Amino acid sequence: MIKIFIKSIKNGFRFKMIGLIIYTVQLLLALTLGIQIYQVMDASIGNSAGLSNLLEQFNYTTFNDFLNVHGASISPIFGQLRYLLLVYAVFSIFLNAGSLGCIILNENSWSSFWSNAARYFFAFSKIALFFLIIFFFISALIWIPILSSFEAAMEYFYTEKPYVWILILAFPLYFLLLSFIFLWSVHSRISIIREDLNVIFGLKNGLFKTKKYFWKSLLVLFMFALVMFFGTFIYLWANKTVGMVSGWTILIFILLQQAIIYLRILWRFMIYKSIDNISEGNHEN
Amino acid sequence: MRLALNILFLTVGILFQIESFAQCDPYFKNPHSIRNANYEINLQLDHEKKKILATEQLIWINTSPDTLNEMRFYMYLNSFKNMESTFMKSANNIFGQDITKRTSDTWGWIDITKLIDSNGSSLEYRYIQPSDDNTEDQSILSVALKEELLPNDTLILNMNFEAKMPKTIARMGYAKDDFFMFVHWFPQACPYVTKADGTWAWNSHQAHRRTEFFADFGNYDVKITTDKKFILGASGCLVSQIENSDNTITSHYHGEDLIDFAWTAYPSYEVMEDQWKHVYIRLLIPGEHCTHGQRLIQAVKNSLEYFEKHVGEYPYTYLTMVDPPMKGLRSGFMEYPTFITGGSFYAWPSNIRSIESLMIHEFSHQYFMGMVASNEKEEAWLDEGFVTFYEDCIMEEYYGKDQSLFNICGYAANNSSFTRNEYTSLDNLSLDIINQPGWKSKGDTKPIVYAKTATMLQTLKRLAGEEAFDKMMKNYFNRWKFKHPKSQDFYAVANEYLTDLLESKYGMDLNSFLDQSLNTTRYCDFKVGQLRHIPIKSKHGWFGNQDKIKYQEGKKTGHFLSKVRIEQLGTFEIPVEIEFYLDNGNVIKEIWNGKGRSKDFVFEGPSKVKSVHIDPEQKIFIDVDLNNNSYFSNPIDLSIKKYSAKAIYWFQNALQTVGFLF
Repeated sequence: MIKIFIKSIKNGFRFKMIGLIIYTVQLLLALTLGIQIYQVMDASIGNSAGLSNLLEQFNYTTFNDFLNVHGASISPIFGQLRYLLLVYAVFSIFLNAGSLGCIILNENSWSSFWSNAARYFFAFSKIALFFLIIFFFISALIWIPILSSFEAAMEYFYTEKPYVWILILAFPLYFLLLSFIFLWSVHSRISIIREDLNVIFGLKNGLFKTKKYFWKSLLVLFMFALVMFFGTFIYLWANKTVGMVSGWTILIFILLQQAIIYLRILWRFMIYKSIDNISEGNHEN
Repeated sequence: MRLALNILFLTVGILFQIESFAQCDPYFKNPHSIRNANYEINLQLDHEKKKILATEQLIWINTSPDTLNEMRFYMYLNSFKNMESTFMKSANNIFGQDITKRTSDTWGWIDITKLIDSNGSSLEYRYIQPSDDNTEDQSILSVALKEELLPNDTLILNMNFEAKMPKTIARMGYAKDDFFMFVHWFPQACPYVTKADGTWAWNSHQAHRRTEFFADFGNYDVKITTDKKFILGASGCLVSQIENSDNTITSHYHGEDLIDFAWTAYPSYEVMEDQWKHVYIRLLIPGEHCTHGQRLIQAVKNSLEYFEKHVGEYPYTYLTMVDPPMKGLRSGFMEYPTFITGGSFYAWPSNIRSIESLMIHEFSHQYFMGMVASNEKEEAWLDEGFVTFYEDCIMEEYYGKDQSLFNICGYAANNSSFTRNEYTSLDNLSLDIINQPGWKSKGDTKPIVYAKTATMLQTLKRLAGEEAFDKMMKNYFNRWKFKHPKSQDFYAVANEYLTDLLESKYGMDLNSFLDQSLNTTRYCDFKVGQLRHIPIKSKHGWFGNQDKIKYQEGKKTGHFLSKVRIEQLGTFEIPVEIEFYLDNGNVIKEIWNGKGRSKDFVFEGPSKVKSVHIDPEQKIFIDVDLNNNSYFSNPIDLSIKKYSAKAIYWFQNALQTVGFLF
């Protein structure tokens, strides 16, 4: 398992140029909103001494006075984010089709990326729709009964303690189910690419492979999740101890943030490769 | 031998009993109040039927110059009799409860079954509706006296009453597993007091959703008989407990100079005890909340210390705190004399200190409501506003100036800023005035009565300075403790101690400040409207005579005209300090009287004004936007870059998450 994990990391880095395409798309989309945030802040409180309060640490008064007075200028940006996410959801099917195709077929060029993206887009769209429905179904199945039964739970249990524990335990169960549908989705897409199956057979084959390799795949997912948590922890720790408090630290943190985003893309490639390696028993690629 | 053993056991028993109940002393050497409403109540709780059967003796003194032929009682429990009461009609929702879904056994009521005067004559009574014409409301009872009650005469009434508790609603009632909170549970005398015009009258408002207390001071002697399984807590001090032969126990509580009496019973309370100087603190807390019991006790000990230092001494030797179980949470977050209720949740995080903050809020009511017993129904700002202000002060003193309320991964808030934001985030800053009866308010009273008042007091404290402010509050407390002050009484004390100071420091009119804050919907919002620099040139134009006339170009003198416009976007008139920083490092300080919409300041010299700071120490905390109080001509935009970068990073993360899902 460790072998697969290490090999997948190495393989993930091989596709750095493809990662760059996805990173650039995401950065451009994020910039459209980020620049607006900059402009609104600059135009509204750009000349205020209140801003210096926000440099060292978060300042509740400055932040809320800004929201109270200029909230109307900020809220449309978050409205745009909603639509942007929706559009990106469709676009990400295209990007994922390209990247997954290259990873599975071991084709590491921009032209292969675009051709794979175009080739698998419609099949992957159907798969995305199918899993989106399952995702909403599972979310509703877990959370609606728990969240709507608070009052009833207080009447049924002696204290709120069991309810809190049900709530806490619901998270691992939820993530377990999400992991299952994620693995199923990846296996299905890999089957379509590798075995040239149609969507129905791809899903069937994906389900079979997911069931067969579920615990192994879950373990690898868990290892990658640990890497991600570790990275996030380091970032938050650095933010807390050093912080974005001067020109230099702001620059360093911007670079760090962008490095994390780029690594997250490669991290996804690594996960795809590890799932493929487990099901194909191919540990050397 | 047997007799000797009996004597020994009896002696040990008495000593044990004395030891058990020696933590507090309910008796004051001298009365603190006029004690004109004194109660002796004996009651039995039938926990199966959620009912109490009780006898009550009221000894009431007519302190007015009027002769009375009626007596009035609060019967607020009847507000939960059905949906016809004024309380229920004025409630859109009560803690989010859908009242229509209640079952028939979840309603509550109170009923007098026997009422006689000291001569043994049975008295007639009827429900009246002094506040409205809702004849279905039974929250005020009028008793016709057989004999006229002369000024300074004492009325003794004996009654039997029965009360059924509702399922928890509006801070009272029962919940599953025999949890009980008894509030407004007995016929309580309405006060007969002076009105604003100086005449005397009954102050007997019906129960309303947005109003709480107003009652006379007196002594309470209450004997509560319950099943042995219950753990009790109550106003006053537990003086004895006697076990009865029928598996019940009678607990005897006594409290002096109180305006109300509340109690709770629940078999699963854990009891945590502590002592602060002369005060015995008893916390009743369900087992699942015990991990934060010490946090709650420490919060109250901090409050006791703060109030002693800044306001006055807590005279009682006892205080009962209740953290209700989750199923009875609707009975929490409330104040009663020497008995306060909070609210918490299992595994509450230590970096969110709302549970301490709420407990401090309720404790602060011991001073403003419990002792300085203003009329909460008519002038709620005198207790809720003051209490919110002191809650903020105490939290910031003991839990940190910048993060007293919460600190979640560096995103922190202190209490006074949080309170201020409750007011400043209102969509309509001119929604309501502070100083009006609760039933007249147009919306939620919290942002105005609680938050705006607290922010106004914070402003007053910052303007006057802590020492002067404390001196004023100490005098207000000492003058009005165990009495019923009105707004004018606070104005009078504030004027006595702060008028000259504020006038000499800022040319400020205290009465105008109080009047604008409390009786108008005006708001304050200073702004640096404009900062312009104009280079001053030497004389230019046509000079000379006849054919020697010449045009002379103006030359740069190196001097500038800096024009600064200070604006008031609201209509609140208050003097304000302004600092002008010149680029040679000099600072010019000015005071604008705050009258009018704007004021221009012009400076001429070799240095430009590089920045302007209105109210640089943020004394005028009631200003609704502090960000526009300063202006830098050459700002450093590092903060904007920082937050824009953060925003981009989080947008990218959101896109990543979406990408991962599809």
